[in-house]
Amino acid sequence: MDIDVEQLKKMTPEQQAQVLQGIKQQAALASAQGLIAELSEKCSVKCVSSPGSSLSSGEKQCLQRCLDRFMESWNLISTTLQKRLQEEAVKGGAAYQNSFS
Amino acid sequence: MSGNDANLERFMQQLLIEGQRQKFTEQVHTLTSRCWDICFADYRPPAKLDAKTQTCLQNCVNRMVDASNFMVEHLQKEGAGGHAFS
Repeated sequence: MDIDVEQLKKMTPEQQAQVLQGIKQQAALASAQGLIAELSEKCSVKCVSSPGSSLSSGEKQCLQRCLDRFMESWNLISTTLQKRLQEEAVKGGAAYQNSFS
Repeated sequence: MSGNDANLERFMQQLLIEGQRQKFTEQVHTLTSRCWDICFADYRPPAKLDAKTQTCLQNCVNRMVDASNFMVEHLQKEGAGGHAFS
């Protein structure tokens, strides 16, 4: 997608703020949707491996724990990655240039 | 530099930072998916995140970054050797 710099220059600070706000909201929405999709998949597969006639209390407990542990893992991984990226930035010159995928 | 240029400059900077933030979130997503599969592979989610699993997750993140670095370096070397994909 090409960006027309002339168009960007014409934007008022208010319009710029609106665009930025819109981008952030879209990203937050996409991120939340992705997280929910991921959670549902991982936890339902893990906790409901042999489906019975109804959701058992054991399965419900498993699902609850699964959701909690997954969110905790997300937070721990976020902190760990942030720390690692800071270290990499200090080291400089490393091959890691935010290209991890 | 006119006020307009400074304004644009600041806007572009904000966009760049937001882009990096999104990239980071995406990486956390990918890593959580991979490391969850690895560290919680054999058992049902425990009542608490124990120290062993925490260490597993932290190691998982760092080794995935190591692996990424290793592969990038390796591919760059091959590229320099002239027989990589073109």
